[in-house]
Amino acid sequence: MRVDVPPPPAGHRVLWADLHLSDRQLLDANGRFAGMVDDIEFDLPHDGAPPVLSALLVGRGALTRRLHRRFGSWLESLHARLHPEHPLGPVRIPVAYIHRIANAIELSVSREQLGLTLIEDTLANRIIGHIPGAGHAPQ
Amino acid sequence: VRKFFGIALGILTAVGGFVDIGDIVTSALVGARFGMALAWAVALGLVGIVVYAEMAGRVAAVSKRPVFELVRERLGARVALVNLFASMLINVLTLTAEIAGVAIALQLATSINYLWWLPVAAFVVWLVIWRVRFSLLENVFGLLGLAIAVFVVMLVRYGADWGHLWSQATTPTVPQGEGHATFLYYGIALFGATMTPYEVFFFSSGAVEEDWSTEDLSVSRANVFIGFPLGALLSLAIMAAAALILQPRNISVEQLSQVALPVSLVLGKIGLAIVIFGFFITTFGAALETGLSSGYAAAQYFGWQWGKFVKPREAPRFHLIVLGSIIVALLLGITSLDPVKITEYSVVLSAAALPLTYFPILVVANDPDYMGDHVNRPWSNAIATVYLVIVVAVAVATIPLMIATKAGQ
Repeated sequence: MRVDVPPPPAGHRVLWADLHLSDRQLLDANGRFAGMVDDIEFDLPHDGAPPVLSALLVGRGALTRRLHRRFGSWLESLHARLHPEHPLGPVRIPVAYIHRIANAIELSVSREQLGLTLIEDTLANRIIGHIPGAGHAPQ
Repeated sequence: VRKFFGIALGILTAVGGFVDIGDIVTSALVGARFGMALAWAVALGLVGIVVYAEMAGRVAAVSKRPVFELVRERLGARVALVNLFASMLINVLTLTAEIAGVAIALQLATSINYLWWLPVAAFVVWLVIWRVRFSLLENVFGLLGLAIAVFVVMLVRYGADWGHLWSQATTPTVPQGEGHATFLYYGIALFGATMTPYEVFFFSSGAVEEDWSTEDLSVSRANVFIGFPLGALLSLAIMAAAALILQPRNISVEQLSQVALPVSLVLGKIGLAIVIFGFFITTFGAALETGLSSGYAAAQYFGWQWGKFVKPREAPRFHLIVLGSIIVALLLGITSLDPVKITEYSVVLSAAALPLTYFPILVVANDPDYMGDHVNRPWSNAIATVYLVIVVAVAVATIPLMIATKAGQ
Protein backbone atom coordinates (compact mmCIF):
# COMPACT_ATOMS: atom_id res chain seq x y z
CA MET A 1 0.00 0.00 0.00
CA ARG A 2 1.63 3.24 -1.13
CA VAL A 3 1.42 6.35 1.00
CA ASP A 4 0.24 9.63 -0.36
CA VAL A 5 3.13 11.67 -1.79
CA PRO A 6 2.08 15.23 -2.47
CA PRO A 7 3.70 16.93 -5.50
CA PRO A 8 6.13 19.78 -4.87
CA PRO A 9 4.34 23.09 -4.26
CA ALA A 10 3.09 24.47 -7.57
CA GLY A 11 3.82 27.93 -8.91
CA HIS A 12 7.28 28.48 -7.49
CA ARG A 13 10.77 27.12 -7.96
CA VAL A 14 12.08 24.22 -5.89
CA LEU A 15 15.76 23.77 -5.16
CA TRP A 16 17.58 20.47 -5.22
CA ALA A 17 20.38 20.49 -2.68
CA ASP A 18 22.98 18.80 -4.83
CA LEU A 19 21.91 20.11 -8.23
CA HIS A 20 21.30 23.77 -7.44
CA LEU A 21 23.16 24.49 -4.21
CA SER A 22 26.20 22.43 -3.35
CA ASP A 23 29.50 23.09 -5.12
CA ARG A 24 28.24 26.35 -6.60
CA GLN A 25 30.34 29.50 -6.76
CA LEU A 26 29.43 32.24 -4.27
CA LEU A 27 29.59 35.87 -5.36
CA ASP A 28 29.51 38.59 -2.73
CA ALA A 29 27.61 41.89 -2.96
CA ASN A 30 30.55 43.42 -4.84
CA GLY A 31 30.65 40.61 -7.41
CA ARG A 32 33.83 39.07 -6.03
CA PHE A 33 34.40 35.34 -5.63
CA ALA A 34 33.51 34.31 -2.09
CA GLY A 35 34.17 30.56 -2.06
CA MET A 36 32.17 27.49 -3.03
CA VAL A 37 29.12 26.12 -1.24
CA ASP A 38 31.04 23.39 0.54
CA ASP A 39 28.11 22.08 2.57
CA ILE A 40 24.55 22.95 3.55
CA GLU A 41 23.20 23.38 7.07
CA PHE A 42 19.65 22.50 8.10
CA ASP A 43 18.10 23.50 11.40
CA LEU A 44 16.12 20.85 13.29
CA PRO A 45 13.45 22.60 15.36
CA HIS A 46 12.80 21.19 18.87
CA ASP A 47 9.09 20.77 18.28
CA GLY A 48 9.64 17.98 15.72
CA ALA A 49 8.78 20.24 12.78
CA PRO A 50 10.61 19.43 9.49
CA PRO A 51 14.21 20.62 9.04
CA VAL A 52 14.65 24.10 7.66
CA LEU A 53 17.52 25.26 5.43
CA SER A 54 19.43 27.62 7.69
CA ALA A 55 22.86 28.34 6.20
CA LEU A 56 25.43 27.63 3.49
CA LEU A 57 28.80 26.49 4.82
CA VAL A 58 32.08 27.58 3.28
CA GLY A 59 35.71 26.62 3.75
CA ARG A 60 37.66 25.94 6.93
CA GLY A 61 36.62 22.37 7.50
CA ALA A 62 33.33 22.04 5.63
CA LEU A 63 34.90 20.73 2.42
CA THR A 64 37.65 18.73 4.09
CA ARG A 65 35.21 17.02 6.46
CA ARG A 66 33.03 16.10 3.51
CA LEU A 67 36.01 14.59 1.71
CA HIS A 68 37.48 12.81 4.71
CA ARG A 69 36.09 13.20 8.20
CA ARG A 70 39.23 12.52 10.23
CA PHE A 71 41.60 14.36 7.91
CA GLY A 72 39.16 17.27 8.02
CA SER A 73 39.09 17.49 11.82
CA TRP A 74 42.88 17.13 11.94
CA LEU A 75 43.25 20.01 9.49
CA GLU A 76 40.85 22.10 11.54
CA SER A 77 42.74 21.51 14.79
CA LEU A 78 45.97 22.39 13.00
CA HIS A 79 44.39 25.59 11.76
CA ALA A 80 43.09 26.39 15.24
CA ARG A 81 46.60 26.01 16.64
CA LEU A 82 48.15 28.23 13.98
CA HIS A 83 45.45 30.86 14.14
CA PRO A 84 43.87 30.81 17.61
CA GLU A 85 42.27 34.17 16.80
CA HIS A 86 40.14 32.70 13.99
CA PRO A 87 36.73 31.28 14.95
CA LEU A 88 36.43 27.48 14.69
CA GLY A 89 34.60 25.63 11.95
CA PRO A 90 33.35 26.69 8.55
CA VAL A 91 31.98 30.12 7.75
CA ARG A 92 28.19 30.12 7.99
CA ILE A 93 26.21 32.14 5.50
CA PRO A 94 22.69 32.46 6.91
CA VAL A 95 19.99 32.13 4.24
CA ALA A 96 18.91 35.71 4.93
CA TYR A 97 22.07 36.92 3.16
CA ILE A 98 21.36 35.02 -0.05
CA HIS A 99 20.34 37.54 -2.68
CA ARG A 100 19.76 35.31 -5.70
CA ILE A 101 20.31 31.67 -6.61
CA ALA A 102 21.37 31.34 -10.25
CA ASN A 103 24.41 29.83 -12.03
CA ALA A 104 26.32 31.30 -9.13
CA ILE A 105 24.87 32.13 -5.73
CA GLU A 106 24.82 35.88 -5.15
CA LEU A 107 25.00 37.27 -1.63
CA SER A 108 23.66 40.57 -0.32
CA VAL A 109 26.69 41.30 1.88
CA SER A 110 30.44 41.53 1.23
CA ARG A 111 32.80 38.63 1.85
CA GLU A 112 34.64 40.67 4.48
CA GLN A 113 31.42 41.18 6.45
CA LEU A 114 31.00 37.40 6.61
CA GLY A 115 34.57 36.75 7.72
CA LEU A 116 35.33 34.87 4.53
CA THR A 117 38.64 36.60 3.87
CA LEU A 118 40.59 35.75 7.06
CA ILE A 119 43.05 33.40 5.33
CA GLU A 120 43.12 35.52 2.19
CA ASP A 121 43.97 38.63 4.26
CA THR A 122 46.66 36.82 6.25
CA LEU A 123 48.34 35.65 3.02
CA ALA A 124 47.95 39.07 1.43
CA ASN A 125 49.52 40.83 4.41
CA ARG A 126 52.28 38.32 5.16
CA ILE A 127 53.43 37.29 1.67
CA ILE A 128 51.79 38.70 -1.44
CA GLY A 129 51.55 42.23 -0.08
CA HIS A 130 55.35 42.35 0.34
CA ILE A 131 56.01 41.77 -3.36
CA PRO A 132 56.31 45.09 -5.21
CA GLY A 133 53.30 45.84 -7.37
CA ALA A 134 50.81 43.78 -5.34
CA GLY A 135 48.57 46.78 -4.83
CA HIS A 136 48.19 47.76 -8.48
CA ALA A 137 46.16 46.07 -11.16
CA PRO A 138 48.46 44.78 -13.94
CA GLN A 139 49.32 47.29 -16.70
CA VAL B 1 35.96 47.89 -38.67
CA ARG B 2 36.92 47.61 -35.03
CA LYS B 3 35.04 44.38 -34.78
CA PHE B 4 36.81 43.03 -37.87
CA PHE B 5 40.13 44.07 -36.38
CA GLY B 6 39.24 42.33 -33.14
CA ILE B 7 38.36 39.15 -34.98
CA ALA B 8 41.53 39.24 -37.12
CA LEU B 9 43.66 39.85 -34.05
CA GLY B 10 41.90 37.00 -32.25
CA ILE B 11 42.60 34.62 -35.13
CA LEU B 12 46.27 35.56 -35.36
CA THR B 13 46.84 35.24 -31.61
CA ALA B 14 45.04 31.89 -31.65
CA VAL B 15 47.36 30.66 -34.42
CA GLY B 16 50.52 31.73 -32.59
CA GLY B 17 49.17 30.66 -29.21
CA PHE B 18 48.14 27.22 -30.43
CA VAL B 19 51.69 25.94 -30.85
CA ASP B 20 53.67 25.09 -27.71
CA ILE B 21 56.62 22.92 -26.74
CA GLY B 22 54.42 19.81 -26.84
CA ASP B 23 53.41 20.42 -30.46
CA ILE B 24 56.91 21.42 -31.54
CA VAL B 25 58.75 18.47 -30.00
CA THR B 26 56.13 15.80 -30.64
CA SER B 27 55.53 16.84 -34.27
CA ALA B 28 59.25 16.88 -35.06
CA LEU B 29 59.93 13.66 -33.20
CA VAL B 30 57.10 11.87 -34.97
CA GLY B 31 57.98 13.37 -38.37
CA ALA B 32 61.57 12.19 -38.08
CA ARG B 33 60.47 8.68 -37.12
CA PHE B 34 57.21 8.04 -38.95
CA GLY B 35 57.13 10.65 -41.73
CA MET B 36 53.63 12.01 -42.20
CA ALA B 37 52.03 8.68 -41.29
CA LEU B 38 50.66 10.06 -38.00
CA ALA B 39 49.30 13.36 -39.35
CA TRP B 40 45.80 11.96 -38.78
CA ALA B 41 46.38 12.12 -35.02
CA VAL B 42 46.87 15.90 -35.25
CA ALA B 43 43.69 16.21 -37.34
CA LEU B 44 41.81 14.01 -34.85
CA GLY B 45 42.98 16.12 -31.91
CA LEU B 46 42.25 19.33 -33.78
CA VAL B 47 38.55 18.56 -34.32
CA GLY B 48 38.26 17.62 -30.63
CA ILE B 49 39.89 20.77 -29.29
CA VAL B 50 37.87 22.91 -31.70
CA VAL B 51 34.55 21.41 -30.56
CA TYR B 52 35.36 21.54 -26.84
CA ALA B 53 37.11 24.92 -26.80
CA GLU B 54 34.15 26.42 -28.68
CA MET B 55 31.80 25.00 -26.04
CA ALA B 56 34.00 26.15 -23.14
CA GLY B 57 34.26 29.65 -24.67
CA ARG B 58 30.51 29.83 -25.27
CA VAL B 59 29.70 28.66 -21.73
CA ALA B 60 32.11 31.25 -20.29
CA ALA B 61 30.75 34.06 -22.46
CA VAL B 62 27.07 33.27 -21.79
CA SER B 63 27.13 32.16 -18.15
CA LYS B 64 30.44 33.74 -16.95
CA ARG B 65 31.38 30.39 -15.42
CA PRO B 66 34.87 29.05 -16.22
CA VAL B 67 35.69 25.39 -16.82
CA PHE B 68 37.06 24.24 -13.49
CA GLU B 69 34.11 25.69 -11.62
CA LEU B 70 31.88 23.54 -13.83
CA VAL B 71 34.09 20.52 -13.20
CA ARG B 72 33.49 20.84 -9.46
CA GLU B 73 29.85 21.80 -9.83
CA ARG B 74 28.98 18.85 -12.07
CA LEU B 75 31.33 16.12 -10.82
CA GLY B 76 31.11 16.98 -7.12
CA ALA B 77 33.90 17.80 -4.70
CA ARG B 78 35.48 14.34 -4.65
CA VAL B 79 35.83 13.44 -8.33
CA ALA B 80 36.70 17.04 -9.16
CA LEU B 81 39.52 16.85 -6.61
CA VAL B 82 40.97 13.83 -8.43
CA ASN B 83 40.78 15.85 -11.64
CA LEU B 84 42.40 18.81 -9.89
CA PHE B 85 45.36 16.70 -8.75
CA ALA B 86 45.79 15.19 -12.22
CA SER B 87 45.44 18.55 -13.95
CA MET B 88 47.90 20.25 -11.59
CA LEU B 89 50.43 17.46 -12.11
CA ILE B 90 50.17 17.72 -15.89
CA ASN B 91 50.17 21.50 -15.76
CA VAL B 92 53.37 21.61 -13.75
CA LEU B 93 55.01 19.02 -16.03
CA THR B 94 53.96 21.06 -19.07
CA LEU B 95 55.15 24.27 -17.41
CA THR B 96 58.52 22.61 -16.71
CA ALA B 97 58.79 21.67 -20.38
CA GLU B 98 57.79 25.16 -21.56
CA ILE B 99 60.25 26.93 -19.26
CA ALA B 100 62.96 24.51 -20.35
CA GLY B 101 61.99 25.31 -23.94
CA VAL B 102 62.48 29.02 -23.27
CA ALA B 103 65.86 28.32 -21.66
CA ILE B 104 66.97 26.06 -24.52
CA ALA B 105 65.97 28.70 -27.09
CA LEU B 106 68.16 31.12 -25.15
CA GLN B 107 70.98 28.57 -25.11
CA LEU B 108 70.72 28.21 -28.89
CA ALA B 109 70.93 31.99 -29.22
CA THR B 110 73.75 32.60 -26.74
CA SER B 111 75.63 29.28 -26.34
CA ILE B 112 75.26 29.63 -22.58
CA ASN B 113 74.01 26.35 -21.05
CA TYR B 114 70.23 26.27 -20.63
CA LEU B 115 70.51 25.35 -16.95
CA TRP B 116 71.78 28.88 -16.32
CA TRP B 117 68.88 30.33 -18.25
CA LEU B 118 66.21 28.31 -16.38
CA PRO B 119 66.00 30.56 -13.29
CA VAL B 120 66.01 33.66 -15.51
CA ALA B 121 63.22 32.26 -17.67
CA ALA B 122 61.17 31.19 -14.63
CA PHE B 123 61.56 34.59 -13.02
CA VAL B 124 60.57 36.53 -16.13
CA VAL B 125 57.56 34.24 -16.70
CA TRP B 126 56.42 34.99 -13.17
CA LEU B 127 57.10 38.72 -13.56
CA VAL B 128 55.04 38.96 -16.74
CA ILE B 129 52.13 37.10 -15.09
CA TRP B 130 52.43 39.38 -12.07
CA ARG B 131 52.57 42.68 -13.90
CA VAL B 132 51.31 42.53 -17.47
CA ARG B 133 47.66 43.00 -18.40
CA PHE B 134 45.91 39.88 -19.69
CA SER B 135 44.99 41.12 -23.18
CA LEU B 136 48.48 42.53 -23.76
CA LEU B 137 50.20 39.29 -22.83
CA GLU B 138 47.84 37.23 -24.95
CA ASN B 139 48.14 39.44 -28.05
CA VAL B 140 51.89 40.07 -27.98
CA PHE B 141 52.91 36.45 -27.56
CA GLY B 142 50.24 35.17 -29.92
CA LEU B 143 51.29 37.53 -32.73
CA LEU B 144 55.06 37.12 -32.35
CA GLY B 145 54.54 33.37 -32.10
CA LEU B 146 53.63 33.43 -35.79
CA ALA B 147 57.42 33.42 -36.35
CA ILE B 148 57.10 29.64 -36.16
CA ALA B 149 55.45 29.87 -39.61
CA VAL B 150 59.06 29.95 -40.88
CA PHE B 151 58.60 26.17 -41.19
CA VAL B 152 56.05 26.80 -43.94
CA VAL B 153 58.51 29.15 -45.71
CA MET B 154 61.16 26.46 -45.38
CA LEU B 155 58.90 23.85 -46.99
CA VAL B 156 58.13 26.17 -49.91
CA ARG B 157 61.78 27.09 -50.46
CA TYR B 158 62.83 23.45 -50.24
CA GLY B 159 60.30 22.67 -52.95
CA ALA B 160 58.53 20.06 -50.90
CA ASP B 161 56.64 17.45 -52.90
CA TRP B 162 53.20 18.25 -51.50
CA GLY B 163 51.54 15.36 -53.30
CA HIS B 164 53.92 12.90 -51.72
CA LEU B 165 53.45 14.37 -48.23
CA TRP B 166 49.69 14.27 -48.74
CA SER B 167 49.70 10.64 -49.83
CA GLN B 168 51.91 9.73 -46.87
CA ALA B 169 49.43 11.42 -44.56
CA THR B 170 46.29 9.97 -46.15
CA THR B 171 47.51 6.39 -46.55
CA PRO B 172 49.31 5.89 -43.26
CA THR B 173 51.56 2.86 -43.00
CA VAL B 174 53.67 1.81 -40.06
CA PRO B 175 57.33 2.17 -41.15
CA GLN B 176 59.51 -0.94 -41.19
CA GLY B 177 61.10 -1.71 -37.84
CA GLU B 178 58.39 0.07 -35.88
CA GLY B 179 55.73 -1.83 -33.93
CA HIS B 180 52.02 -1.07 -34.07
CA ALA B 181 51.97 -0.33 -30.34
CA THR B 182 54.72 2.30 -30.70
CA PHE B 183 52.87 3.79 -33.65
CA LEU B 184 49.69 4.09 -31.57
CA TYR B 185 51.63 5.42 -28.59
CA TYR B 186 52.96 8.33 -30.65
CA GLY B 187 49.49 8.83 -32.10
CA ILE B 188 48.27 9.35 -28.54
CA ALA B 189 51.19 11.71 -27.86
CA LEU B 190 50.19 13.89 -30.84
CA PHE B 191 46.53 13.72 -29.84
CA GLY B 192 47.45 14.80 -26.30
CA ALA B 193 49.72 17.58 -27.53
CA THR B 194 46.89 18.95 -29.64
CA MET B 195 44.22 18.66 -26.93
CA THR B 196 46.19 19.48 -23.71
CA PRO B 197 43.73 20.22 -20.88
CA TYR B 198 45.28 23.58 -20.01
CA GLU B 199 44.03 24.96 -23.31
CA VAL B 200 40.37 24.83 -22.26
CA PHE B 201 41.16 26.12 -18.74
CA PHE B 202 43.03 29.03 -20.28
CA PHE B 203 40.54 29.72 -23.05
CA SER B 204 37.50 29.81 -20.76
CA SER B 205 39.20 31.69 -17.92
CA GLY B 206 40.53 34.15 -20.49
CA ALA B 207 36.97 34.74 -21.66
CA VAL B 208 36.03 35.66 -18.08
CA GLU B 209 39.20 37.78 -17.67
CA GLU B 210 38.26 39.76 -20.76
CA ASP B 211 34.64 39.95 -19.70
CA TRP B 212 33.24 38.28 -22.80
CA SER B 213 29.50 38.36 -23.32
CA THR B 214 27.22 36.87 -25.96
CA GLU B 215 28.38 39.68 -28.29
CA ASP B 216 31.88 38.23 -28.26
CA LEU B 217 30.74 34.82 -29.47
CA SER B 218 31.76 35.68 -33.04
CA VAL B 219 35.31 36.46 -31.86
CA SER B 220 35.37 33.18 -29.93
CA ARG B 221 34.16 31.23 -32.97
CA ALA B 222 36.67 32.88 -35.31
CA ASN B 223 39.46 32.09 -32.82
CA VAL B 224 38.47 28.47 -32.64
CA PHE B 225 37.25 27.67 -36.16
CA ILE B 226 39.96 29.57 -38.08
CA GLY B 227 42.80 30.18 -35.62
CA PHE B 228 43.12 26.66 -34.23
CA PRO B 229 43.19 24.88 -37.62
CA LEU B 230 45.87 27.29 -38.86
CA GLY B 231 47.82 26.59 -35.66
CA ALA B 232 47.51 22.86 -36.32
CA LEU B 233 48.84 23.45 -39.84
CA LEU B 234 51.99 24.91 -38.28
CA SER B 235 52.34 21.70 -36.24
CA LEU B 236 52.02 19.70 -39.45
CA ALA B 237 54.59 21.94 -41.16
CA ILE B 238 57.08 21.08 -38.41
CA MET B 239 56.24 17.41 -38.90
CA ALA B 240 56.70 17.68 -42.67
CA ALA B 241 60.04 19.47 -42.25
CA ALA B 242 61.27 16.66 -40.03
CA ALA B 243 59.87 14.04 -42.42
CA LEU B 244 61.70 15.57 -45.40
CA ILE B 245 65.05 16.44 -43.82
CA LEU B 246 65.55 14.35 -40.68
CA GLN B 247 63.92 11.01 -41.55
CA PRO B 248 66.06 10.27 -44.66
CA ARG B 249 69.21 11.05 -42.64
CA ASN B 250 68.11 8.83 -39.74
CA ILE B 251 68.28 11.73 -37.30
CA SER B 252 65.99 11.15 -34.31
CA VAL B 253 64.86 14.16 -32.34
CA GLU B 254 66.43 14.15 -28.91
CA GLN B 255 67.00 17.89 -28.55
CA LEU B 256 65.18 21.06 -29.49
CA SER B 257 68.10 22.12 -31.69
CA GLN B 258 67.40 19.17 -34.01
CA VAL B 259 63.88 20.48 -34.59
CA ALA B 260 65.44 23.66 -35.98
CA LEU B 261 67.87 21.77 -38.21
CA PRO B 262 65.64 21.58 -41.34
CA VAL B 263 65.09 25.34 -41.27
CA SER B 264 68.76 26.21 -40.86
CA LEU B 265 69.71 23.77 -43.63
CA VAL B 266 67.29 25.31 -46.11
CA LEU B 267 67.07 28.97 -45.05
CA GLY B 268 70.49 29.49 -43.50
CA LYS B 269 71.34 31.70 -40.55
CA ILE B 270 68.42 34.08 -40.86
CA GLY B 271 66.03 31.14 -40.91
CA LEU B 272 67.74 29.71 -37.85
CA ALA B 273 67.47 33.04 -36.03
CA ILE B 274 63.75 33.25 -36.81
CA VAL B 275 63.11 29.67 -35.73
CA ILE B 276 64.93 30.21 -32.42
CA PHE B 277 62.92 33.38 -31.88
CA GLY B 278 59.76 31.40 -32.69
CA PHE B 279 60.67 28.67 -30.17
CA PHE B 280 61.38 31.33 -27.56
CA ILE B 281 58.09 33.19 -28.06
CA THR B 282 55.79 30.18 -28.36
CA THR B 283 57.26 28.41 -25.31
CA PHE B 284 57.28 31.63 -23.31
CA GLY B 285 53.66 32.32 -24.23
CA ALA B 286 52.68 28.76 -23.35
CA ALA B 287 54.58 29.01 -20.04
CA LEU B 288 52.40 32.02 -19.19
CA GLU B 289 49.28 30.06 -20.14
CA THR B 290 50.19 26.94 -18.15
CA GLY B 291 51.37 28.97 -15.14
CA LEU B 292 48.09 30.88 -15.10
CA SER B 293 46.09 27.70 -15.70
CA SER B 294 47.40 26.11 -12.49
CA GLY B 295 46.10 29.14 -10.59
CA TYR B 296 42.82 29.13 -12.50
CA ALA B 297 42.11 25.44 -11.90
CA ALA B 298 42.85 25.44 -8.17
CA ALA B 299 41.19 28.77 -7.39
CA GLN B 300 38.08 27.81 -9.35
CA TYR B 301 37.84 24.47 -7.55
CA PHE B 302 37.85 26.21 -4.15
CA GLY B 303 35.86 29.27 -5.27
CA TRP B 304 38.72 31.62 -4.37
CA GLN B 305 39.23 34.99 -6.01
CA TRP B 306 41.33 34.58 -9.14
CA GLY B 307 42.27 36.51 -12.21
CA LYS B 308 44.42 39.28 -13.50
CA PHE B 309 41.47 41.66 -13.61
CA VAL B 310 41.95 42.35 -9.87
CA LYS B 311 44.99 43.58 -7.94
CA PRO B 312 47.31 40.71 -6.95
CA ARG B 313 46.73 41.36 -3.25
CA GLU B 314 43.01 40.81 -3.78
CA ALA B 315 43.69 37.32 -5.16
CA PRO B 316 46.59 36.18 -2.94
CA ARG B 317 45.84 32.45 -3.06
CA PHE B 318 45.62 32.47 -6.85
CA HIS B 319 48.97 34.26 -7.15
CA LEU B 320 50.59 31.97 -4.56
CA ILE B 321 49.56 28.90 -6.56
CA VAL B 322 50.92 30.42 -9.78
CA LEU B 323 54.17 31.32 -8.02
CA GLY B 324 54.33 27.89 -6.36
CA SER B 325 53.87 26.01 -9.62
CA ILE B 326 56.56 28.10 -11.31
CA ILE B 327 58.94 27.30 -8.44
CA VAL B 328 58.16 23.57 -8.59
CA ALA B 329 58.61 23.61 -12.37
CA LEU B 330 61.96 25.36 -11.97
CA LEU B 331 63.12 22.83 -9.37
CA LEU B 332 62.09 19.95 -11.66
CA GLY B 333 63.86 21.67 -14.54
CA ILE B 334 67.19 22.19 -12.82
CA THR B 335 67.42 18.52 -11.89
CA SER B 336 68.46 18.40 -15.59
CA LEU B 337 65.76 15.85 -16.40
CA ASP B 338 65.70 15.58 -20.18
CA PRO B 339 63.28 18.35 -21.35
CA VAL B 340 62.28 16.35 -24.44
CA LYS B 341 61.32 13.39 -22.22
CA ILE B 342 59.36 15.67 -19.86
CA THR B 343 57.48 17.04 -22.85
CA GLU B 344 56.70 13.54 -24.11
CA TYR B 345 55.36 12.42 -20.74
CA SER B 346 53.31 15.58 -20.29
CA VAL B 347 51.53 15.24 -23.65
CA VAL B 348 50.85 11.53 -23.18
CA LEU B 349 49.45 12.04 -19.66
CA SER B 350 47.40 14.96 -20.99
CA ALA B 351 45.61 12.57 -23.28
CA ALA B 352 44.77 10.36 -20.29
CA ALA B 353 43.32 13.21 -18.19
CA LEU B 354 40.88 14.64 -20.73
CA PRO B 355 37.57 12.88 -19.94
CA LEU B 356 37.10 14.37 -16.46
CA THR B 357 37.43 17.88 -17.88
CA TYR B 358 35.49 17.45 -21.11
CA PHE B 359 32.47 15.66 -19.68
CA PRO B 360 31.29 18.56 -17.46
CA ILE B 361 31.76 21.04 -20.33
CA LEU B 362 29.48 18.96 -22.53
CA VAL B 363 26.83 18.62 -19.80
CA VAL B 364 26.72 22.34 -18.98
CA ALA B 365 26.77 23.39 -22.64
CA ASN B 366 23.42 21.54 -22.90
CA ASP B 367 21.90 23.04 -19.74
CA PRO B 368 19.39 25.83 -20.53
CA ASP B 369 19.71 27.06 -16.91
CA TYR B 370 23.22 28.14 -17.80
CA MET B 371 22.98 28.68 -21.52
CA GLY B 372 19.48 29.97 -22.32
CA ASP B 373 19.15 29.99 -26.11
CA HIS B 374 22.83 29.19 -26.56
CA VAL B 375 22.65 25.49 -25.74
CA ASN B 376 24.50 23.07 -28.04
CA ARG B 377 23.21 22.42 -31.52
CA PRO B 378 22.66 18.74 -32.39
CA TRP B 379 25.72 18.52 -34.68
CA SER B 380 27.92 19.87 -31.92
CA ASN B 381 26.52 17.30 -29.47
CA ALA B 382 27.04 14.53 -31.98
CA ILE B 383 30.72 15.35 -32.51
CA ALA B 384 31.28 16.05 -28.82
CA THR B 385 29.78 12.70 -27.83
CA VAL B 386 31.95 10.84 -30.34
CA TYR B 387 34.98 12.63 -28.87
CA LEU B 388 33.97 11.79 -25.34
CA VAL B 389 34.07 8.12 -26.35
CA ILE B 390 37.45 8.67 -28.02
CA VAL B 391 39.03 10.43 -25.03
CA VAL B 392 37.75 7.74 -22.66
CA ALA B 393 39.21 5.03 -24.92
CA VAL B 394 42.49 6.94 -25.14
CA ALA B 395 42.57 7.46 -21.37
CA VAL B 396 42.11 3.73 -20.80
CA ALA B 397 44.72 2.76 -23.41
CA THR B 398 47.41 5.30 -22.52
CA ILE B 399 49.07 3.82 -19.44
CA PRO B 400 49.12 0.18 -20.70
CA LEU B 401 50.57 1.38 -24.02
CA MET B 402 53.14 3.46 -22.18
CA ILE B 403 54.26 0.37 -20.26
CA ALA B 404 54.09 -2.00 -23.24
CA THR B 405 56.19 0.24 -25.47
CA LYS B 406 58.51 1.40 -22.67
CA ALA B 407 57.30 4.93 -23.46
CA GLY B 408 57.78 4.64 -27.18
CA GLN B 409 61.26 3.14 -27.38
